[in-house]
Amino acid sequence: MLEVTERSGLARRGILHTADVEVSTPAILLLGDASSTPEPWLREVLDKEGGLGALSSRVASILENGNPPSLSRPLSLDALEMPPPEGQGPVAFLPDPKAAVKAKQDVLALQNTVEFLRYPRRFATTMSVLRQEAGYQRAIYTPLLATPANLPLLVHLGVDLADTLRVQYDTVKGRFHSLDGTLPVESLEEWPCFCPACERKDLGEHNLRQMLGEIRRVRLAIRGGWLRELVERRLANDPWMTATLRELDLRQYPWQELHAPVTGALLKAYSPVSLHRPEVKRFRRRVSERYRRPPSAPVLLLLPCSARKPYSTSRSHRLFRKAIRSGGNPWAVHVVVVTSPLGLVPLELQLAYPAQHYDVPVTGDWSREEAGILEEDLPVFLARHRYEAVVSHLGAEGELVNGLIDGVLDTSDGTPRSPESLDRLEATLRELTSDLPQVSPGQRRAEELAAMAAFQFGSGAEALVAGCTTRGRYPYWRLLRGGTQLAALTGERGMMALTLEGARALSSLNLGWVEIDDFYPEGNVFAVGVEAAHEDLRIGDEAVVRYGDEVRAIGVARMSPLEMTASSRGEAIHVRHKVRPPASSAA
Amino acid sequence: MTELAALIEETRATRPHDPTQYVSAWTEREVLDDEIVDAFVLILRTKGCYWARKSGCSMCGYVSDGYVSVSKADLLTQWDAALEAYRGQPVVKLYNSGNFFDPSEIPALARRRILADLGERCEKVVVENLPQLVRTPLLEEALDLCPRFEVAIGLETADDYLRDHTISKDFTFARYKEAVRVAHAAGATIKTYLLFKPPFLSEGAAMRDATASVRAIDGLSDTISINPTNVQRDTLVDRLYRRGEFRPPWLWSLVEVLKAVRGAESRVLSKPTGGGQPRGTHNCGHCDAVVLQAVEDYSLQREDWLDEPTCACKGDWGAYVRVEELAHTSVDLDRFLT
Repeated sequence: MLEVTERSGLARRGILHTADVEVSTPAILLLGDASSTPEPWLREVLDKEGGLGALSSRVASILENGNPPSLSRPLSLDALEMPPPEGQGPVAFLPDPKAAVKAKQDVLALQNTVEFLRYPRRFATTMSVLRQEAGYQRAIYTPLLATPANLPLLVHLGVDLADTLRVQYDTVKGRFHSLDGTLPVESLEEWPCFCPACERKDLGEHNLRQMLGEIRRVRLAIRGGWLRELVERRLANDPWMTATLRELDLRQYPWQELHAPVTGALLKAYSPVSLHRPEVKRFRRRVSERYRRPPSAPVLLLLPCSARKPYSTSRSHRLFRKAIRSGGNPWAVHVVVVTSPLGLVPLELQLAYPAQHYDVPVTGDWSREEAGILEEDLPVFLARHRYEAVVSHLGAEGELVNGLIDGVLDTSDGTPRSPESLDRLEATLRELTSDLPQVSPGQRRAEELAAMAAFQFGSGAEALVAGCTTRGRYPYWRLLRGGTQLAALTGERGMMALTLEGARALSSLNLGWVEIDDFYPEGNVFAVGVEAAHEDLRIGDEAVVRYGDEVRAIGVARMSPLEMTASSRGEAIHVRHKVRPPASSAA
Repeated sequence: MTELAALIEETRATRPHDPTQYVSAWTEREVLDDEIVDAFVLILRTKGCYWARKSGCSMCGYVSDGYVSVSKADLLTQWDAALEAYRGQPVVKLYNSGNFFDPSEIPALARRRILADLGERCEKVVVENLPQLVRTPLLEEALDLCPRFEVAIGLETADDYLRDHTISKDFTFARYKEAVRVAHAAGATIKTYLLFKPPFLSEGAAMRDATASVRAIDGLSDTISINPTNVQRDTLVDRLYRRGEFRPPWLWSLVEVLKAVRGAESRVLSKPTGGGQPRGTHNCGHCDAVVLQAVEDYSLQREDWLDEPTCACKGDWGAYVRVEELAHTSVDLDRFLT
């Protein structure tokens, strides 16, 4: 059984428990001569890796056992029925993902996996299907595919085990591996590496070291939440990788999104493919599906983004805010930030992941694809929210945006921070809002809380914060209703954390719930106790733990709803507050 | 029909032929009574193997040599022409892309005429048949006319599971053994063809299968001929090969098998078709001729120097076999790992 301990999208870290050994995953199986008579340095590596050496030799020993011939059917004949996989050895080699159900082993691989080098799109799809068929507690192994360069991508797709077969084969063929792909060794006037093996011109050891080094980097990346960034950096080396990731992003969005956390590390959108990250796509979708503008603010003001996040803490936004205040009716003005790759960020959502957690090179030059995001989202946004007036106070993107809005009032003329522009902004807002009823900050805040709640918890959650007042200084708010605290907004996480009272309110709205067996959690809730979970729940979300209508605890989801219902081990909910069990009536 | 059989049938193609012309004829060397002699090989054009017409075997393209209608007169025209080409070679191997004893392929009258002509002219006759067509009356008739008569059977592998799932041939090892018993009882000798490396099998598994199959029939079959799979047109193997999903066996693998069964009671040989070619058993291209020569010398019992050939590609082969097997794949690694 594989126990997942950390997740980053579809990638996981975990402990693979086999009959006699435990292996930390993701890992590289050392198949071949290296594992049978390891050099001292490798012996050291193996010692640190727990049971990896033992598992590797068990996987490799199928050769020596004179096992019955196993057949492997090429992908082009996937309709051809093949006899069931042999039950021997620690790995089940499946003719297709559907056979996973019948396999007894905890490590699953597909026959002829190497053929996926010809079918990148199919690889992305198949890995998703295999994970669905295998469940979360079995390891997926891709024989012969891994190179130092593609290892991050394989793990990103959910692969738990790779091996050294490809670099071994390439060593024989004289191919020098690096994180950027291979070079023919005879073409190297000097070896571009300073590892001890390269001093001795030992190609096999160098290639092996590259693999072992990269798997460590991948593990760090899962823990640090930057695996996707690592994958994007490697893409340029190989069209296969680009095609695989593109397929995953474009056609496996629901599956990826299900596993994408709603909080996380800095999202570095440095590459065109970053626009297709599930976190980015989900943010845009939630803005268009869950979000409602404050009803009391009928004047839309479009502002540029800032490098500093949250936007409102930046110098430029302080200047804008001053102009809005001077306009006389500031709470009748609704600020929406225009940015890549998120498109439109209503200012009250500036804390929501990844709005304050992304970085993007700001040069003012928008690519066709980035422009496409605005062309897609802006008309939808305007049609849905029906503002009385739209003011555009943008930089270089102004031209693009203005062309998408009928009757837009441009106050910046491309230089939003110039004193003239700021004066123009102030004057324009004054003109537009002076005849409108004066909007009170309290009313506006209530509306924004409703929007934030709906964005975080789903449509209908506006009721959760209805009648709430805030205490504390933004972005640290306590939300109270009638003297009872329901939630706290924390700046870094960008989300509302619920109290038990808040959890009851959310549960009554039938949102964010996790059904458990009839027990009172003493600590965190483990997957084994989970009966069902709301399908919109995501890793990082507030999770209301309940039995029937009775809330038992509130915490943070550590697994997708699918994983917490299907798995038998691992922490499903990290509990923050729990209900004390009633005093026993018997006794 | 199994899915595999349906797939094999799908790849079949027929071509127009002249029913009065035999397919081909040539002379090769053969061992007879411990001496190397010439053998006349003749391939007659007939309707072809009934099994091939039904669906066939995954590697067999001989079905396209057949022709829908070959009359008895057509066949005898072929035979007359063949006799003109015959130069008195002591051994005659008579193939018809099917079953010599199947009267729908070779009518009884033609068969008797052919056997009678051969009995007068050569010392030994070899014909081919599926085991289910090896029957006592037919054997007795043949032995009557040709006292040294050998039946060649394409057993391919002693493993029924493999024969069913990789080759799709419609008989069992038990049926084969019965045919051998019947033939020996009648006084005929048996030559068994083993297919070295059917599709879907790794190089290593293929070596183990061939070795195990030789051992399973050692002493049972008088001669055992190991046929490395060669890629014939319009077969399932061909379809796989063109996509890089099948690699004909390495010559090193063939040598390995021959070495493993040295000292067998039966005579073990191999006459690779298309050896050294991309579609036949091959190594890197530099050493193929030398290795093939060693195989030929071994097969003709001239000299055993199988241990001697060597080449830089032997290391590549070792890695290929090991990596392919550990990765549970059967595709041509060098078509995918570039």
